Amino acid sequence: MKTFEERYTAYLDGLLSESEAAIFERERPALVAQKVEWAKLQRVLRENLVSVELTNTDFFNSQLLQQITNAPSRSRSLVAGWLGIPWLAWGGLGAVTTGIALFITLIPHGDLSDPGSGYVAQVLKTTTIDPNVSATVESRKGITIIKLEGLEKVPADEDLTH
Amino acid sequence: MLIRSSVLRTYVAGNCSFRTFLLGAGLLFAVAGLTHAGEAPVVESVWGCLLYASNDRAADKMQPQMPSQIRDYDERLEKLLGYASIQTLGQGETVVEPDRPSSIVFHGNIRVELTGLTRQPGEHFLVVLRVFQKDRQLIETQANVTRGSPLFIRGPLWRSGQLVVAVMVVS
Repeated sequence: MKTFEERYTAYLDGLLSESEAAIFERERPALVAQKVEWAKLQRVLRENLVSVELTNTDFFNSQLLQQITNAPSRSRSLVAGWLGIPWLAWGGLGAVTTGIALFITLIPHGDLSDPGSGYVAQVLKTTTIDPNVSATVESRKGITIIKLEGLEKVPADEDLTH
Repeated sequence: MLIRSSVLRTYVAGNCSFRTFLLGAGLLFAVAGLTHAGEAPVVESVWGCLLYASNDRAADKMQPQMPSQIRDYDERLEKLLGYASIQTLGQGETVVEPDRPSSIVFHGNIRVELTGLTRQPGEHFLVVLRVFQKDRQLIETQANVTRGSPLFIRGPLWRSGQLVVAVMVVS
């Protein structure tokens, strides 16, 4: 069973048999006028549409190629503008600089296995008001202590814990 | 001069290169300025504790051991003081503000007064501290310390041992 579109195409192209065409025209009388119009259009096209040969093909091709070459490439401009080598180089330099700055400021320096390696407690000046009291500074690796001599003993019954 | 490298050529010819260079240099100076802030009064927290160093093993069980802030100094302090055990009698923390003395007070009216805290290059601090027993000033000292480095002051005798004050810039 042929569809309407198949029968219509075959009808316009003159591929239906006389009996089939007659039946089709009986079913759809309006198509007869369309077929006449179609035949007229075909004849007009055949008479007027002729191929034109270019006499200056090389010039035409060169102009066409020049327009293609001059057309701005979006991908190239994007790469040159944002992802080009200079920006990547500056980005890398910035990242390295930031990394070094963070390393200097945040990472503790010195020998981490030795808790006293970063120790700095330097006594610059000591003064005691009481002439009987003397102060001596003793510095060892990783620890500084000021030793006071000549102080009165704190009474043993004095509670220093509460 | 013939510049062969495309990177260098772009760098030399680039419109934004000099501006980018200035921006980078400015950032570097800013970081350097932050990390090496000059001498200036600062607001810092200072922690202190009162310790009791003795050879009394019985007291060892009664009192808490060294505070966590100075636990690493346990052995060195015992060796330097010549005592076998150290217990904590009290501890406290205060905020030291410019031009205003701050104190850490312990039991027995032993007090550490801190003043004139200034930051030096390299995260060092200059601080003046005075230790008082009741109203009597025992010592005044100026010290150059780093954050987390305690300064110990061996004070008066008490019972069978000796009192020790530790002071440390903590933040």
